[in-house]
Amino acid sequence: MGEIFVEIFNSDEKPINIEVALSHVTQAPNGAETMFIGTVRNHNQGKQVLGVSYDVFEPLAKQSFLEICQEAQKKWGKDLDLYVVHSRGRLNIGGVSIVIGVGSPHRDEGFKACRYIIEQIKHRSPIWKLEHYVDGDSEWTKGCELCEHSHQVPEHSHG
Amino acid sequence: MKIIVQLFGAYRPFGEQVEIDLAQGAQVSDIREPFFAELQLIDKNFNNKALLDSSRFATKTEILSENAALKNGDIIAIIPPVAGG
Repeated sequence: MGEIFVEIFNSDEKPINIEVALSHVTQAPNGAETMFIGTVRNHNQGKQVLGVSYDVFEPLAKQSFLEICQEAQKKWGKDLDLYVVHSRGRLNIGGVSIVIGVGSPHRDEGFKACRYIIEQIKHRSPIWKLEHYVDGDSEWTKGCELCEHSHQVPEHSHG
Repeated sequence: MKIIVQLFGAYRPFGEQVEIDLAQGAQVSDIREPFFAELQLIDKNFNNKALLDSSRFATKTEILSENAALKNGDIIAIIPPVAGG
């Protein structure tokens, strides 16, 4: 049985460490470690972005991460080692908002599980993004409306 | 009965939480109208019904259905459209 680690880190206390994420999923039975790293970009919809602040409803966010990871294990193998950490608070350009690590025996299930986890988080996890612009304005980005029972949304690309 | 609604995302400018009064036997779908009125007490210019209509309510462990029953003292979170990742 693979291990699942999910957490929310406050950006000003504990920045996401990609090497730590990788080490969590680098285990002897695994021949593939697949990572997704989300970072803050300097533009969105024609506006120059200085940084973002993430708001998180932590207990439900962690619950959603856990459920999504368990779904990934069900789909691509109980032996997947999974690591998901999302930031809360202010991040500047280039700051890491999320890291997903998947350790798997082979690459195919690793790529698929990693893609599944990020797409599901974007659609289901209670996390919000306040963008800070060069002109001094700030705005909550338009997000995905949750369904009443938001499980296993389609895997279309997003944001 | 009294319900606490914790605020997140686009509702953060209204504070950490608001308290609303509901009739006994109320369900989740009954929250929106008094919640909207409460926000307008805080900011009389608030008129974003689309945001409210696209928001859901949740406990610490699940998104609530619109017909879920509420009881006095419940603490729930309002979940506007999400944008993590």
